Amino acid sequence: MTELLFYFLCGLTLFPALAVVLSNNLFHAGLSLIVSFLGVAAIYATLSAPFVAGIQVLVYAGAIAVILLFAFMLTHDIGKPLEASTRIQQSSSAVACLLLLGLIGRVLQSSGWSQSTAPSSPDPGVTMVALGEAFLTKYLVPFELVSILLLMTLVGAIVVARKEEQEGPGHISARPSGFDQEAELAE
Amino acid sequence: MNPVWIHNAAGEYIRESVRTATGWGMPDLLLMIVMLALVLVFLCVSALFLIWLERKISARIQNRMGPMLTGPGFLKNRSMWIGGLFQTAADAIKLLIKELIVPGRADPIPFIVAPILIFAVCVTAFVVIPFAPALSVADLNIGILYIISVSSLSVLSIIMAGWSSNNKYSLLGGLRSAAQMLSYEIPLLFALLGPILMAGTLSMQGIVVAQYQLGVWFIVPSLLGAVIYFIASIAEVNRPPFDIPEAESELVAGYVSEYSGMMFAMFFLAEFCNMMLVCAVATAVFLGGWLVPFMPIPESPDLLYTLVGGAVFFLKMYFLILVMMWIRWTFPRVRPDHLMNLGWKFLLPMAFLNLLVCAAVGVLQAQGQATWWIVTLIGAVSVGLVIVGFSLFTRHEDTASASVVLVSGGAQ
Repeated sequence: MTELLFYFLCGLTLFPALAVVLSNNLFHAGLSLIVSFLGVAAIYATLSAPFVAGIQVLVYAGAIAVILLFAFMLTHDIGKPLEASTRIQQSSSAVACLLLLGLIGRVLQSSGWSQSTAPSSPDPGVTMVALGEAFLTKYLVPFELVSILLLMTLVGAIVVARKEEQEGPGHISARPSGFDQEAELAE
Repeated sequence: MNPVWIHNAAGEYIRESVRTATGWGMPDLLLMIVMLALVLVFLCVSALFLIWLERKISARIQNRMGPMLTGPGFLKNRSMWIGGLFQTAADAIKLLIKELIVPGRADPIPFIVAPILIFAVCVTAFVVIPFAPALSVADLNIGILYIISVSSLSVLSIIMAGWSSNNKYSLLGGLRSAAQMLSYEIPLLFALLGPILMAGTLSMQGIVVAQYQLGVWFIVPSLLGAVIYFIASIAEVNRPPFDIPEAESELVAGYVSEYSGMMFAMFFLAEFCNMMLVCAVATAVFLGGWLVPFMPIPESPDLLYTLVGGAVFFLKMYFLILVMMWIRWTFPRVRPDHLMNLGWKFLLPMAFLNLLVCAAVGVLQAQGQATWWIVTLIGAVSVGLVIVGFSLFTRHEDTASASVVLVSGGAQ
């Protein structure tokens, strides 16, 4: 039963992921991405990591993918068939994919693959308290580095948005929020 | 002091009673379906009643009678508060027999999935709501995180509806709703973080019990957080005065413009279910949930306490829903840029402040010094500081423009 569930969830994760890559319609690709994220969250939940599963849904499916869709909706001509990518794009993405494959392979090779017996009763998994303590003691440096990275992204986003605003008077810039445009039009 | 039985799942009682009656242990899958059916029935019946209630309250506020005729004959022409009791049921039957129209150039799959998803998300989130001690479908360890993460998917269905309708009003409504829900999710989360910090757990039943152990409801130390949560949750469920996504005067009906029949009814139902959801969360987190005042939690399962606790929970929840309806029919719609300013420049900093206050209470709790009067004092002082700060630093032109918006309302 558990094995069946695992294969079902794998399918739920992998087939939408394929659809993300192969779909011609960007909006459909975004929706498939969300289904894929949800599948990953479900796998986390079956691996007794409910907290990670919840965060996966909240951050990836509920925020990042939604912002992605939001950006699609603001883009012109999103429904038209896509232009073929150039050779430079193709070759550079191939290099990136190979690098990623190598990295994943290295991680797979170095992990111990300890055979843990599957818990018969649903065990609580890693508690919130343990997770929080690990973040603030053992993994403090990576944790803080991630927060610095996020802060940099935040400041960078503001800088990019500001630059477009100064393009000239009377010019309605393509800022990420539709609200500002409407407000400017109203004025 | 820490009764364990309240964390039990309600389904286990059903399984036990079936076993004692017939000697047959229900399989998990069947139990799941039974619990789901119970939640669905509860939601649908409550929504039917709430829609009728909202029409009656709006009628009272606007000095009308509202629906009066549909219903049992002996209720006709008595009082406006019992007339038309079956109006929503009649409406639902009418919507059920209408044709489901998918526009010709719409994107069919997202168009059909969207209304199902928005309702399904809401039903799933109700799984962890603690209606009474040991009366939630499941008391998950990550209870409140589960609710937040699952209900963050409802914006997805609105985007799907807005995009797939192939209609500019729907698209604008979907865009506005995505921006609004994403912005208000952040103050909502931070307002909820305070009580989580004080409770030291994410489990919904655990948060209720933590308020019992503290001696006061969490609204007392974090009144600020409760107000922020309530405002942000009204914006989250897209109800007036934050109904910009479906502003009928400018956007026809926003993302529901192209929907008909039962698909439209699903959106309508989901709005009321979401309203119940946010009010139930507010009740459990800030208003003490099912805690009966002046009654200690019994050490073992107790039917009387469960019944009284459930009644208390529903009273609080319905009170909050009534306040939401009252706000809906009293305030004009907020302008989009004002909405963004309120969320990002006012609610979010206030939520940070609330988090600090709650952290202080948490520290006191860890030291065992959090008596109820110290906690009350901390809450009162923090609210007082905020009020004094705003009366000192608010510029006059701000209040003037705010009142202009209030007077001119949605007719911008």
